This record gives sequence, structure tokens and C-alpha cells, in this order.
Amino acid sequence: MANATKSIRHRVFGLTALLSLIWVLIVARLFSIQVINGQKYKAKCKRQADYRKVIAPLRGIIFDRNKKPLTIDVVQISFSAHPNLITDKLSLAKEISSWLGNNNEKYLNTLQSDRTFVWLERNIPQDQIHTLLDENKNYPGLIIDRNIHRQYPFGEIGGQLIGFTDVDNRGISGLELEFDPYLSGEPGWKIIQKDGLGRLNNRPDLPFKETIDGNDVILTIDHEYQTILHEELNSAFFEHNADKAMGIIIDPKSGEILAMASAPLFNPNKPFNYPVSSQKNRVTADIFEPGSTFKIVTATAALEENHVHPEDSIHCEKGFIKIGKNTISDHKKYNTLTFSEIIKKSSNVGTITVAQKIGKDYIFKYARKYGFGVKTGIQFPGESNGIVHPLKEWNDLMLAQVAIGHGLCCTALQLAYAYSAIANGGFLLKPQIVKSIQTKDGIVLYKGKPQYIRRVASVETMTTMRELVRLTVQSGTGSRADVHGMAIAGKTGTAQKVIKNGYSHTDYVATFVGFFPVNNPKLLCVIVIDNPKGKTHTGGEVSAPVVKEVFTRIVNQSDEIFLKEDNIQRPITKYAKIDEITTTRINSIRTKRAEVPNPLLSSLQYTSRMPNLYGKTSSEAIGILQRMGMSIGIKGSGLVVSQTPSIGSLVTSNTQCQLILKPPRLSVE
Amino acid sequence: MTNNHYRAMDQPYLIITILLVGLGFVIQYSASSALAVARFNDPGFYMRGHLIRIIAGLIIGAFFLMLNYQRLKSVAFWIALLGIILLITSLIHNKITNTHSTARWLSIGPFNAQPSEFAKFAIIIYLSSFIDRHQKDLHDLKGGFLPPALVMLTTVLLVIIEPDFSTGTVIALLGITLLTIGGMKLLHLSYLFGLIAITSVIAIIRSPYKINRILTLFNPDKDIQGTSYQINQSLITLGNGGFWGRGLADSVEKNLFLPDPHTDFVFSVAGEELGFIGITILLILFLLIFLRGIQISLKAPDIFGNLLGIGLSTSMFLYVIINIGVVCGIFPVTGLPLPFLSYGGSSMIYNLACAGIILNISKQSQLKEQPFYWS
Repeated sequence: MANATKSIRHRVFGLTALLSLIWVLIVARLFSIQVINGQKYKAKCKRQADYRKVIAPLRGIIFDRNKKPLTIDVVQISFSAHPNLITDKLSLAKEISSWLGNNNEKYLNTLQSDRTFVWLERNIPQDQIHTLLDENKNYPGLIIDRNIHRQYPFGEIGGQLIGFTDVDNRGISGLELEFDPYLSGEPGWKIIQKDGLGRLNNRPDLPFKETIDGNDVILTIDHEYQTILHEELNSAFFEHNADKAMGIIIDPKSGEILAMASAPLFNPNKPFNYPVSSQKNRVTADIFEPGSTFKIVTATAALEENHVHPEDSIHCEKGFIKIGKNTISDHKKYNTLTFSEIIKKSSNVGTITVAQKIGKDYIFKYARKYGFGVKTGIQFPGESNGIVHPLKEWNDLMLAQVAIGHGLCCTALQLAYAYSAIANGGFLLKPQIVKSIQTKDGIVLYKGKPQYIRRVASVETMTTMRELVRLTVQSGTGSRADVHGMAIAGKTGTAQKVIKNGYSHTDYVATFVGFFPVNNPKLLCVIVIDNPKGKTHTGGEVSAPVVKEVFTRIVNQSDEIFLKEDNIQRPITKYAKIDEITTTRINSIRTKRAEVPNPLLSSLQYTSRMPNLYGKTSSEAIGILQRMGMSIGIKGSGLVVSQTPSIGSLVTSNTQCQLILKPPRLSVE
Repeated sequence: MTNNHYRAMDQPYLIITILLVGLGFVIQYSASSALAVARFNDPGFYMRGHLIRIIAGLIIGAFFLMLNYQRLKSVAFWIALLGIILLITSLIHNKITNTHSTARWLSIGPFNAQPSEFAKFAIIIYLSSFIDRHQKDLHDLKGGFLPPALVMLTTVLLVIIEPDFSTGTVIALLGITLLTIGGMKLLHLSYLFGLIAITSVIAIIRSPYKINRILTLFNPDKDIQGTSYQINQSLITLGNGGFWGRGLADSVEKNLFLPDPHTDFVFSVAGEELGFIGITILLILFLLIFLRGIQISLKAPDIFGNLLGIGLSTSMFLYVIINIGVVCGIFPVTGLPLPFLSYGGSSMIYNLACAGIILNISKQSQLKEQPFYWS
């Protein structure tokens, strides 16, 4: 017989049954792990093996109006390694040296170190790397980091204006802050698989999101002008040992800011080497009492409301005027002056006499009309309102003080735009600092255009005002700004600084506002020097020469301003005659100015190219078109299959765009 | 009978063996590639090593296939003695050279072998042979029980002090199984149980890491980076496969998260790549080869054949159950390889030798024309 005995059979059956039972248990256990709890373990696996690498976008560049870059994104690449994870150190060292052109022994020595982490090279500029690094190639143990570092090639020039970014390349000051939503772009990411030792393994099949680079911002700033203003302002600042100084150059006809500078210096490349107070753009942020420069308000009100004629004689009380208990004096004793001489010689007593004649309602109204006490609405962070007290708080002393530019505060920016209304024939404009914003592909997202706020006074009044301020430079307090042949007009201001008990007799703010050529002004410049401590302290002596230097240098540097005289637009006064907007009386304080569409400027066409919207979703397409300011009609749903106007055709911001959308076919994953 | 070996040997058993070796090779290559790159910068390193071990196993398996298994009966005692000598040699060798921390390995020229695998093999042969020859005095304590029990205990003790607690336990389990099936008195067996229980307790107390391993079983989330790291990673690996698996070669966890992806935890990688469906098929193959082996053994012409076949089949299946039990967190971590899949020469040679012997038994059994089911 060959079969096993019965007892063996029985006991083997027991053994088999026992082991089979365990087998069933194991299968059940595996079912529980893999099928019932599969998701839990999958999530755990994802958590330990997926690494989301964030790829920083390139920040948009800030250009000046001539496309000169004012910022640079320096892409730096760092190489580090975990030596113990590298198997073939020699070939890796050779490969790295072939990228960087250095001797491979240096890297080999570093890689043979017994430390767990070593730096091979730090912050190598991208252009020094000989080959294009393949993002998807794996070098186990080698870490390649791309670091984008913002730099400002012109350093202190325009430092406060441009601002700076933090370590994460986010704008935190100046234009970098204001336009950060445009400049910053969107970071991308990709999933990289990690192994158990933490080494990264690039796999092209894993999900990723593409980086969207930031948009370029093209400023109205002219870097040449900015440099000139910067140098002149700072030399005056140091020469007069001033507390601070600010200057601005604008185009009074378009409202574009051409240069804006503040002292003390600030270099955005090393923001933390400077006190915080130096970081701010004083032109928009700092307020001061404008002093005599404010007399244009009284003068305009007087002329516009027909209370005086430039040739009228006004009695100047021998240099003293009593208002209640207070006495206000002139710097020289005048007996009788014509109204134009009052402005020319900047007589306080004369101005107050005129102001008392027209009354506080009109002074207040014209201060408002010129834009004092309200933000100009410049696209710049931290703009100050200035201070103009409510009319009901005005008493006789207040009226007298305001008439000569005390008891109220303004920014240099407000002063510049008030004078630009005189220069351009009566229009208060909104400051423009950005010409356009465009993507790296050239799609225009924003186009700056002159924005008209209101008419301040009639053309005739403003023509007279221009003559008055021209006289000031020709033969009055602003004579130090006069350059033969340049027809500079301007007004000086010397304000006593406010101290505890009234006004200081030693500390002044010296201001000068100038523009030229007087009959067709191209440039307007404001210089404010706070607390000059030299021999001189008046606006005429301290600030006027700075404006003169600035204008002279600009003209010397480029004859354009004169040579193009024939080609430029006709004088703005001719347009003004068809302007039908009636001026309204403004009594209430508004924080923001009402913007009225300007018929004079709407004829201008600001064109851009129609972008390619095929295949975009409706929300993407709407986003792009809205940023271009276009109105949109949409038919259907899904993805864009047809667009009018066609790709690349010229469109204006009020073009009607028609899109036809269709549901997408099943996409291949 | 001698002229038609191929027709005579059991076809289903041969086919399942070949299937397991083939599948094992593919899974081994996939599981080991990442580790091979990390260690040797060559994804095929372990794959080639595994192939060489398969070839060596096939040669030894073929030798036992050709060799009439009954010849082993007469030399069984000497084989057992050789096993004990090899174990002692490796212990002394380890004392002298002091190169390894454990004496699990014995180097003979360029080969490293695990003497415990041979000892396991030797004990199965010796016990089967002893029971076959002493059928009449099995119930006698001195003549029937003590000699095999002592040989077995000596071997187990030597394996445990190597130290290889897991293999020692498996040898002890196999010995008790064979003695039980062979018809030993239950009273005598209970002495043995008692002795083994005391030994186990001492062994566990003397090495606290074993306690940790056992505690880990009940609380796998505690100390994830420490003692329970392996088992946690193994569970993540299995779970990440889900029902259908990630596809061959697509394991995430084999990228050095899972320790020993090519040896003890090769089954986890199989689970991740092939899914529940794939490893269930694999488990069915292991169950079939076990049941078929038992079926063949029961039809063997003599008791030596019965017990030898049962012992070898059980030893293979015990390894499957323990290894997979560890991988899915039922048993504490032991370090036993999975037959045909794990990387390792001793294991591969042992398992193919077992298959050779069982196929040899099948040639002599009366199973030839029977259909394949449990009867």
C-alpha cells in the first residue's frame, strides 16, 4: 500500500485547515488595507512622496517713458548637494564644471566632504551658466535653486519713487507696492516626487501649473529729467543744510509726471540702511504750508470774480496789517502797489487786502477748485490730503492767513497741479504716472490718458495769471529763476514753519514753482526746501535757482522742447473755447475728486492690439478684455471659437468685442 | 518508470512553480530597481543577481528531481549532523573573524550561505526519516521521542543564538508539526511545547527589540519614524496600490521609502504595483502549490515520502504566511523571505530544492491521472 495512514491524513487535514484559515485572514486583511482603507494610505503616500515645488515668476519691469528699464530682475542660481546621496561624484563634478566653466576638482573636493549638506555655488547669475539647465533631468542629491533678486540699476535716483520689494519679491513701497498686482505675476508649481531619502525625482507626467510672469509698467517718468532733478535737488539740499527737500517736474498739459525726487537720499537696493522716513516719497506724502505760492488762489479768485484788475492800485498800509490782535507784515514796506506788483513783489499786506475784499467764500472756493485739501488721486501709495480747514471755522485771521498761504497745508504734488492749471489755460488735471501696463507678450492691459477734473478759471484769467507769474520771474521775487531766452514763469514762497506758539522766525520752507515757456508751457517744476539753514532762506533765493538749473539742463540736454515747437499741439486755450462745462460751487469736503469726462481729450485714440482669445474660457476672455477696458458681448458657453475683432487688429478701449463660445469636445487627458 | 520522468511528474505543480519563479523575477526587478540605482547606480544589479540565484536553484532543484528521494532516508542522520556542524562552524567563524554582528552567514569562498536554511532542510529530512524507521517505538520516550526531539532542539538552539529567532521558531514549529503528524504521543509533545515556550520567553526578554516589534503590532501609529517605520511604510505601500494597482514598475514607495523593497517587503511592492487583484492571484498560486504539495505527499509510496513532502510544503507555505502576515501587519517584523520573490540565494535554492523533491515524490505516487482538486 502506498497511501498515507489514516492518522496522518487526519492530522494533515487539521494542519491544512489551520494554515488555510490564516491564508483567508491574510486575504481579508489585504482587502481591508487596499480596498477599504486604500484612500487613507494613498493620501499618506502623497503626503510623504509629493513635493510641491513653487516656481517664482519673473517680476514685471518698471520702465521709464523711453523704455529705459528702472528695475532689473537678476536670476541667480545656487547649487547645493547632499554628498552622501551622490553615487558618482566625479561625473557629477565634471558635469557641474562644464556648466560653470570651472575646474571640476573644486566641486569634487566639496562633494567628497562627509557633511550631509554642502553648497557648491551660491547665487551665480544666470548668464554665467554655459548651458541651459534641463529642468526635468535628475541629478540625485544635487539641488538647483533659482532665486530672483530685484535690483535697481539707478539706485538713489528715483529711489523713493520706485520703491522696493521684500525678500519674497513682493512690492512693499512706492510704485513697486502700488503696481504689485500687475508686476508680481503668478507663481507656478509642479509636483515632484520625493524618495525615501528626500531626493527629488522630476517626472514630466506629474501635475504642474505654469508660471505667469508679471506685467511691465511703463512710467511717464523720464529718467533723464529724473536724474537732473535728483542731482539739483540734492545739491541744494546739501548746500543749504536743509531738513528735507522735494521736487517734481510735470507736463502741465497732459498731467504726466516726468520726474519726482525727495531728499534725503534713499537707495532701494539697500532699503534697510536708511531711516524709514527716507523711504517715503515726500512729494506726495509730506505736507507743508505753501506760503506765498498760494497767493495765486487769491489772485485767481480776484481776477475771475472781477474784483480787481491787474492795473488796480491797492494800498499796502506801509507794510503792516492788523487783524484783531495779530499783525502781519511785509518783508519790505510798500505804500501803494498795483495788483500785479503785489504778486510780483509778493506783498502779504496787499494780498490780504484783496482777499478781504473778495471774502472768504471765494477764497475757499478757489482753494478747492485748485485742488487743495483733496487727494489728487495719483496712483501712488500714501498720498496726503493736505489740510484746508472747513469754511465755517474760518475767521478773519484765518482768511488773512490763508490768503498768503498759511493756516493750510498742501503737498508739492498738489501745488504742481494747481500751477499746471495756470500753465495749461485753466484745467485741473489728474496726475498721471503710468503710461501703460503690458504683458510680456505686448498685450496692453492699461493705458494712461490725460484725465481732466475741472476748469479752475477762464482762459482770460489764466492768461493774466501767466503774465503775473512771468513778471515775478522777470523782475520780482523769482528773478533768480530767470534765464535769458527761456521765458520762465514762476512764483516764490517762503513760509514760516509752525512751532509750538505760532510761527518760527528762524525756520522756513522755501518754495518755488516755475514753468516755461510761458505762452505754451512744456514743463512745470516745483522745488520745496524745508528749513534751509544757510545765509538765505527765501523761496526766491533758495528754490528758484534750483528750478532754473533744472530747466537749463533739460534744455541743454535736449533741444527737443524748442525744436518741436511747430509740431506740437496747438495751444490748449483754443480748445478751451469749446468747453461748455459749467463750474459748480464746491463747499463740501470730498475725499476724492469727481471725475468728469473730458470732451477735449476723448477724441484721442488709445489703441492696442486685439489679443488671441481662441480656446480661452469665458472668464479668462472677459478678464483679458476687461483689463483692456473693452466692452464684451458673449454668445454661447464653453470655450471661445470665434472673436470679432480678429486677432491683432487695432482696437480702442471702447471697442465692442463679440465672442462666440462653444462647449469643448472631450479633452484628452 | 525511469525513462519517462517528464510525463510522470506532476504537471500542475511544475507549472505553478514555474509561474511563481517567473512572476517573482518580474516583481523582483521592478521592486529592486530604485534601490539598485541608489546603491550601485545600475537598475539591473539585483535583477541579474536574482537571475543567477534562480539558475543555481534550478540546478539544485533538477538534481533533487533526478535523485530518488528515498536515498535521502539512509543519510538523513548525517545530513542533520552536517546541519549542526555548519551552524557551529558559523558561530566559531563569527567569533574568530568578528566581521559580522550576527552569524547568520557562512562564507565559503565567494559564496555566502545561510546555514539555518540548510539546517531547516536537514531537520525535515531527519525527522521524516526517523519517524519512518521507528514506527514501532514512536510512543517510547527514550527510543522514539527523545532522539529526534534532542536533534531538533539542538538545531533550534544553535539557530536562535546565531541569532535568528524567527528561523529558529519556524524550525521548531516545523519539527513539532512533523512529530505531531508522524504520530508522537501528545504527552511527549507537551513537554516539548513547554520547553519551547520557556526558551521563547527567555529569548524575548533578553532582547527588548523583539518586545517593541510585538508592541508595534498593536499600535502602529506610535513612533512612526522609529520601530514602526517599516510596518507603516509597508501598509502605505499596499494601500497605495488600491484594488487595481498602480501598474508594473510604477511603485512610489519602492523609491527608498520602504526599507528592503527587494527582500522582506517585496510583497508590498507587488501589492502597490499589481493591486489587490494581482496579489490575490499571487496568494492563490501560493495556496495551490501548498495544497498540491500536500496532495502529492499523501499519495507517496512510504511514510518518509508522506512526511518529507508535508514538511517541505508546509515550510514553504509557513514562510509565505509569515512574510505576508508581517507585510500586512498581522505578525511582528521577523525578517523571513517570501519564497520565489525575495532576493536571496539560500531561500531560492531551498525552495527550488523543495519543489524538486516534491516533484520527485510525485513521480512515485499514484496521483498521475487524478484531476487537480483537494480529495
